[in-house]
Parts: sequence; structure tokens; C-alpha cells
Amino acid sequence: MTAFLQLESVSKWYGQVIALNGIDCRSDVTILGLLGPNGAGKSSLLKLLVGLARPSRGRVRVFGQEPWRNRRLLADLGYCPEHHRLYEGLTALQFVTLLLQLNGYRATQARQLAEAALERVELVGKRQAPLATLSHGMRQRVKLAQAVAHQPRWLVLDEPLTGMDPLGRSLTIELVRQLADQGVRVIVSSHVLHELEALTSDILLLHRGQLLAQGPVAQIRELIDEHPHRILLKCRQTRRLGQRLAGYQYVRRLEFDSGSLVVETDRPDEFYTLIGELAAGDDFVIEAMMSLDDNLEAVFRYLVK
Amino acid sequence: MNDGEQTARVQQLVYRPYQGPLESLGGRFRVVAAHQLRLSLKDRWFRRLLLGSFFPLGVFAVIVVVQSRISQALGRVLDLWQPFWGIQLFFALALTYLCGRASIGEDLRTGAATVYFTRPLTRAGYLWGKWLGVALPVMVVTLGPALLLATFRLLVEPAATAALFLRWLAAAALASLLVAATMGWVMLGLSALTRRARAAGFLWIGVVVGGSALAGGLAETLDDSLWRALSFTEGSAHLFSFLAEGRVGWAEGAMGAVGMVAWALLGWMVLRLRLAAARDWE
Repeated sequence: MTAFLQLESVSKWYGQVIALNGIDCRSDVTILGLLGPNGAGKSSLLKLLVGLARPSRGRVRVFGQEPWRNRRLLADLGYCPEHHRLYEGLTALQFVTLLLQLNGYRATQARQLAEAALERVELVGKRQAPLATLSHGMRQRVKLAQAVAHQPRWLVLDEPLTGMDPLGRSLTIELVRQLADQGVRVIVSSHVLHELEALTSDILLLHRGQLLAQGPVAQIRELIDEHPHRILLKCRQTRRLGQRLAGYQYVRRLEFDSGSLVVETDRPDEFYTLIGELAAGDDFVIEAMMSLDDNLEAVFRYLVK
Repeated sequence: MNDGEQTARVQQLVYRPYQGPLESLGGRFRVVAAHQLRLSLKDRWFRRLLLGSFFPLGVFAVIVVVQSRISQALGRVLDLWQPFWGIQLFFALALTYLCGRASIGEDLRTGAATVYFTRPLTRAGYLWGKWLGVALPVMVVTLGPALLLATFRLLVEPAATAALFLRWLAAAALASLLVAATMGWVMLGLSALTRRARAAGFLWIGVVVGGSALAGGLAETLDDSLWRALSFTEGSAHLFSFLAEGRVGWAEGAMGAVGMVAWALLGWMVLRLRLAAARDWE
């Protein structure tokens, strides 16, 4: 039986720069995580998967087909890019409608589907707001809406949780899980293990263009937990939030910057749960949260020794 | 909750890929063009110029009326098309700047190009859509007023015949199409050269001014005014004047057409070469 994803000795280089080096992989899981630090080759691999680039060597197959300029396969794809400065003058509704029309939907139908997709990501109240006026997290949700609006068979999400507020995170995770339950295949990339772990336990671990590991995430997780985890929080009441967090044992260090707070913790799971609870209450408005990745780089250095 | 509501809720939860009719792949360049035009229409300078391009028509209408009254006394008919076309070209140049400067480079810079190409859209469809987004406004400000002026002249001028009217129409259509092709492809080529819209705008001004200076310099050096037609503004004026009124010779008219086609090809080549080198394009 044809696997959802097959990579055979896939290499990709741009001039002298090798982005991917001899990747072999076969996967049929519902949600596949692509993990690696910045520059690991995740974006290059995603470009090959969504047909934006052709491998310099080797073969890429998705549902048994080559993705390179394969319009039939692309018609079934929902792609959420990493970039977030897309057509800032358009409203959320216009943006999603435009991309649906590129899939061939007529204007009226595209608009209906766009409305439904924005409702799905709980942005229906912001549908007439220009993208430039939306927060980073809201833009992420708009990008997610355009990716799922045409009911694709497979989804590729490039760093979908970066910069999202805690509520947006849980909404996105819930939506992706729902889609996977309904049979949609999902490939999601991140440089933060905890983000991927919330979605799947099956990962491809990339580093410097090479595939380091494939499969369950448990072992890597143990390694990561040995290292302190740095998380950046954007919040209007940084001082008060810092005071509150300082009372927890697993918060090892706090750094204040203009409008943001960097927290170092050795128990990220408990910390993320705490932040979720604080955000759900009325005391703090947490606008964005992102992992600063230092720990993952340290783990990769350890793994490749 | 009644049965109807329950059914609606259940259907909402079921995930079913769409199986209905879709627009053809070949026609999707229209979506790109419509989007480009929508973005342009948001710019108030674009709207002002588009409207403003019809104002000279009023002045020329007055000239036509006055001329039709005193043409017998004058003994000759004034050359109206060449100055009229020159003014409309000014609007076309300005609109090309406004519509095209952010066209390709901005898509590469913001990553919009990757979003386009993960949709079932061909590269050619994307480029033709982008071109149409520039070419349509150019054609509106050149062909539109020219058609209105030709119609007005037919109605007012005693010497205007149906055959002459058809000649004017054909001249306006052909010259407009060439102007739109030239300005559109040159501007898209420049827009692909840089990811900054402002830089693309400066390049456009440089090409227009530099092209005219080069053509003028060649004409002076070689002592042959034919070379002036290598500038696509002058080339267009020569071609239109030749086609509409025969006031310039066929050699100048032909040189104008050749110059414009050469500029359009140059723009197309720059665009293709630049995109071939872009990682997001492949």
C-alpha cells in the first residue's frame, strides 16, 4: 500500500549550500512533526513536499505522487506558511476568499467557505479587519483559516504556533487534532518540541540538513528536559506577571524587557499549564508566547556528538 | 433543539472534500489580475489619476468644436492626435508606476509567492494575471479617452467620415495594446529586480527618462530622428500618429512599433531571468 509520505535519498542544494542531505523516510502517520532548530532544513523539506521546489537528487512522493508542480495534488493541499506579512491591506475575509478563488472556487462560494473557515478559527468578528491591524497570533489563525477553508486532504503547517497567545494555541491544536480525526493528513514543522508534542508523538528530527531520528518523541524529550527552557511572554503587565511567576520553584530566572518577559524554567510542561490558567483568568492579558529555542540547539549539539 | 437543527449540526461536523464545479485552471489568471486591481484601487492616487485621465478629453472636445467652426477659415485641420496621445501617455506612465512597482518583488519579499504557488495556479497564469493588473489601467487611460474623442470628432467634425473613424479606432486599439504590453512587462521586470516597491518605482522613472535620453542621444549622434522612436514614449507617439493620421512616415511608425516590442521583450527577459534565480520561484 502506498504510504502518505515517501522520501528516497532526497538532497537539495542551492549553489554551494546543502539544505538537505540524503534523506530517506517513509511515514503513514496522521500527524507528522518536523522538528529541528533554525537552519536544520525544515523549510527546504516543506518546499519539496508542497511542490515549490524540486529535489536536486532523490525522489519525493506524497500519496504516491510527485508534488513538483502537481496541480491535482496541490488542489488537495492546505498550506500554512511561516511568513506573516501577507497582503496587509486586505481584510481577513478578502485574504481567505482570494486564496479560495485561486483554488477555482467562484466568488460567492469562496466567500461562504472563507466565512466558515474564519468562524472555525474564532475570528469571525475580525473578518472585516485589515490584516495589518491584527496581532501576530490572529494572523496565524487567518493563515490557518486559509489553509483549511477548502477542506484539503492534507495539510502542511510551517511553525503554526509561533507567536500565538495561549488561547490561540489551544484552539489551533484542537482544530488540527479534529482535522486529523476526520482523516486529514498533517505535516507540522516547529523548532519547539513542546509545541509538536501537543500535536503528535511521531516526529522527524532534522539537523543541518540530515535526518537524525524518526519516530516517538519520548527519548528526545528526556534530553530536552535536562536543559533549561527559555520562554518569551508579551504582556501588558510584565512587572506584576513577573512577581506572580517568581513564586514558583520551577521558574529559575526572569528577565524584563520593554513589554516582554523572558522566563527560564526547567519544567516547561508545568509552566505552560500555569500560563494557560493565568491567561484564562482576568488578571493578565498575555498577547504572545514563544520558545527561545536555546535548549533545543543544545540537545542537537549533544545528539550529533 | 428540533430535528432540522440536529441534522445541520451533524453535517457541519462532517469533513467532506468539495466535489463541485471549479473554474478552469487556465482562467485563474483573472483572479490574480482582479486582486492586483483591487489593491491598486485602494490607492487614492491611482483613483485620482484614473479619473484625471479623462479631463484632457474636455479640453480637446472644445478644440474640436472650435476647429470644426473655423476650419474652413483656417484652411487646414490641426494635428490633434499626437498631443492628445502624449498627454494620455503621461497618465499611463504614472499608473504603471502605481500599479506595478510592488507587483512581483513584494510577493517575493513577503512570501506571498509561495502561497500562490501552493495553490493550483500555473506560473504563466500568475505572470499573465500580474501583467493584466498593470495593462488594464493603462489601456483604460489610453484607449478609453481615445475612443470617446474619436466618437466626438465623428459627430462634430464635418470632415470626419466613417472610414476615418474606423482608422482612429484601429490606431487607438493597436497603440494601446502595444503601450500596455510594453509598460506592463518592463514594469514587472523592474519589480522583480528588487524586493522594495520604492526602488522599483525609481528604476521605472530611470528607464523612462534614461530611455528617452538614450534615444535622443542616438538621434543626435547619428543625425537621424528615426532613433528617437527607440524611447517607448516617443515610439508610441510616432506609431499612433502614423496609424491615426499619417502625419509621420511609415518608417518612423514601424520603428516605434519595433522599439516598443523590443522593450516589452527586454522586460519579459529580465523578469524570467530574475525569477529563475529566485529560490521561491523554481
